[in-house]
Amino acid sequence: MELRISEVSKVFPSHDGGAVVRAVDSVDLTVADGELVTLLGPSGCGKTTLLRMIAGFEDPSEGDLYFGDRRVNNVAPNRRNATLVFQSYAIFPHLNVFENIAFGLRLKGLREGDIRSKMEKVVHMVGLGGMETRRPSQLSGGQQQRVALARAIVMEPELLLFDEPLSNLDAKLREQMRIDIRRLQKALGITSVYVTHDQAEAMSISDRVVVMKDGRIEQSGCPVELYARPRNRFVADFIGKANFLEGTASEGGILLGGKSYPMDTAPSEVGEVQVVARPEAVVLSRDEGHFHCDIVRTTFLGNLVEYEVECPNLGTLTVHQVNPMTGELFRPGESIQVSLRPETLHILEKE
Amino acid sequence: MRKSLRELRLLCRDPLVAFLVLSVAVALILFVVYPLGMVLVKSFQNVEGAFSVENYSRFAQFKYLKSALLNSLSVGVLTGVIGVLVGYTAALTMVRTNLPYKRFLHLVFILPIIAPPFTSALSVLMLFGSNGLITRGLLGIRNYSIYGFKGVLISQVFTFAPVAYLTLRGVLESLNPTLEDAAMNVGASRWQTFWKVTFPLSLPGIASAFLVVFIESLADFGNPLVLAGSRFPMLATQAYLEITGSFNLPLGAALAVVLLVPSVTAFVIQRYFIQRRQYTTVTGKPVDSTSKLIGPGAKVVLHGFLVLFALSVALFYGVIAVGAFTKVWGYDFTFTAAHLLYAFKVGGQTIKDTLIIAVLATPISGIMGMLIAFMIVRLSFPGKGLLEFGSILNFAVPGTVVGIGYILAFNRPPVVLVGTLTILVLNFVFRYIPVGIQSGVAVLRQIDPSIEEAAQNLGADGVTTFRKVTLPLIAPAFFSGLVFAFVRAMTAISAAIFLVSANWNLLTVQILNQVGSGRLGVAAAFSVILVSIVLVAIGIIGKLVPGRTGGASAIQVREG
Repeated sequence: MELRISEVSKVFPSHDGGAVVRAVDSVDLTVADGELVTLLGPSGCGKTTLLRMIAGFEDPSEGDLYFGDRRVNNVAPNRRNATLVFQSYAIFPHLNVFENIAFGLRLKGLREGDIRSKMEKVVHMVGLGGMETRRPSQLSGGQQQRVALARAIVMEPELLLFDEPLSNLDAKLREQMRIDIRRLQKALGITSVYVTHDQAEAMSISDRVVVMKDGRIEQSGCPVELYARPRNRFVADFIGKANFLEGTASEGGILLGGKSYPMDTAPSEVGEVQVVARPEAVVLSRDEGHFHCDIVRTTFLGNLVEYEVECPNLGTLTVHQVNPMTGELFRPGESIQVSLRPETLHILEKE
Repeated sequence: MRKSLRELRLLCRDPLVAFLVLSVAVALILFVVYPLGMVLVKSFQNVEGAFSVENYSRFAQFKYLKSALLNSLSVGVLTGVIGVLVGYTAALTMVRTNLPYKRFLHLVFILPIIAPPFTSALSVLMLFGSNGLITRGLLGIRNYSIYGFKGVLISQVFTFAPVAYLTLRGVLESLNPTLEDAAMNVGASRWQTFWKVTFPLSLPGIASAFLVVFIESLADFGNPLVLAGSRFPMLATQAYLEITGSFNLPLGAALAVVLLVPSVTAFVIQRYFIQRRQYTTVTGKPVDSTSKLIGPGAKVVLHGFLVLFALSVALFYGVIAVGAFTKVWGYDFTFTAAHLLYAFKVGGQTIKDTLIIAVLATPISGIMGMLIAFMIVRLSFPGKGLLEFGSILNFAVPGTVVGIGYILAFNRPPVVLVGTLTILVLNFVFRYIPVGIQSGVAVLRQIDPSIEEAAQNLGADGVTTFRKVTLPLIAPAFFSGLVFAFVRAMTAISAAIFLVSANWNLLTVQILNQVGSGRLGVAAAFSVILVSIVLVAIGIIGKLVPGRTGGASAIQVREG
């Protein structure tokens, strides 16, 4: 099922009687059938409010929500068939695992036999086999998360919603759950909206990422697109690490720190521009390069080495050297040659 | 055994602490356990003082005495049921809907808690009595009798529904509304969400609130004394009448023991079986969920109910305020200040007495409460569980029983206290420390020991840590406990009525006497004076205490 969000806004009256707060501001977004779209942004950007409007817990102040062709603005939350995996899990503490997952099925009035067969499937799908009679207080955080997930997918919803579901788990478990959620979502083919403030989570799980700020969409695109061609400084900064360089663009290319770099495509604007260079777009060498710089800090991270490099013409740069075991390590205080990979440079829109 | 020996040795390393623990234990034995034991002993004696079970066999034989138990229990159960219904409805509406005048409604609801527990009996008389505003004035009924079952019930519901409301409000506030969202999200309607999620999760709280109201209703003394009448005996008042009217102390003691059994049973169930089962689903950061549990239609109905209940409470207290300045209630409604002047004339000394007793008892009770709370939470010593039980036992023991215990225990050598100021102060201190203890324990448990460790780690010694870190953190709870202890000391009647004398009298007793002799106007005037003093005192303590404690919000520590 396709989800269409059309010019939706949510206005909250302010608490101190001042101006109203536009938590969500004219958002337009279509999620294709079977697609997983992530709403990504810092806290207070309106992503959770938008999700709660889709679930029906908040009413849009303006605009329309469509599930397929059905306008759902006035449909009660319990009639939407859009199940939500809550951040706090919201497991019913008075029911055991089985009863929690079967809660919605029983409300539907399904026969006990049908419930059992659906349950059996979903319980194994999320890896909770054998725990059906446990109480929520006997479950670990990761298991509670799986109960919440099972409770949502057992309903075979038209739309699956996630509200920062992994934020209460430790790092290792979080990575495992990302993979599991992605696998389940693809296998079931359910249209999904996923809210998070963790860019790595968004990149690893999504077909498409929507970056939000102050209730508005800053940019929407697949993970590669957002990383390689961020629209503006906010998006570039929020997704991955970034060096921002001041340069001058012309028809032929771009002038950075006195060195001209050719561009594949003609720049959209000429004159003073801001350019983003990802840490791995900077090349360090003892022998050849475009700028003379000094190593300030060296941090060995295993799969890569992060350097802080001071360049007289460019400013301070963060540099990633991948696969450090095969190359040579530079020490703090060492003088070094720096060059940029022209194909990875990207000009940002002015804000 | 070895564990307690080790604990004992550890305790003795700090002689000051050991001394404090010992003193508290001795005080509790002397002023809580010993009087209760005396009641039990006396109940197994005949009038001559020899061992006998004749009191209990009389109780089993006489229908009148048996019906006192039955009446007390049935009023208790019904007050509990209605009180919980009203309290739950009000709490649910307040917690799950947004009302602009919520805070005001809340204050109206808790008004009965700061008023003396029997002012509603006075209101019932003024509204439904033979000269009542509604019965005679509005409906024109003559010779209507409100005395008996219905009068006591109405009066107690108004007195104790606010208690249920406060308890249940706390319960509902600790239920995460996200659970309701989750139920609706998988297809539950509002009705289904309520019955399958909200209600089962609040059930332990409901049971707890019911038992608390049941205990308070059994212990209630003022309302039955005014409204029960002679054809509807109730245990608490009957025990009093046996002692003061028939001078039959052993029979009074036996009735007190009969009253004690259901009270303590309910208390033990509430405290050791139900309170532990409560679900607290709000953890960490608060959830800003605008729950859709209550639909627009239900909202209108519930709001209507809330406003109606608030109006009734306002009416109950309004008639007292009006009655205090009305010539003859029911006949002549012209304004007069005569009652108030009369009250000051005959009651000036009583007002002073009451204030002296409350002002003395309040800080002692507060400090002892904090001390015991600290012992319970931060120390370990043999018999700690017993000490905790002993210190909160008075919460469950009806005041009538305590009063009888005190006159039995302290009317002959070595300790002769009856008729003195000391016995009244002691009685209040030990009756109301449970509140200080409960709020103190709650706050201390919330203070992570690592905060105190941090202070020590930075160089503070034990005393400095307590003074600079622990004390400021528990101060709000301490002052809340003070407000409550003061309100209770000002408004208590059941135990105190046995202990007052010509030298030391209390306002509440004075009010009951005026009601007894039919001077409703004067009784109303005394009530107005009493409530005014309480409100001023709450205001003063609220001003003295920094932060959002003190004041009326402090009343909420009541059921802790």
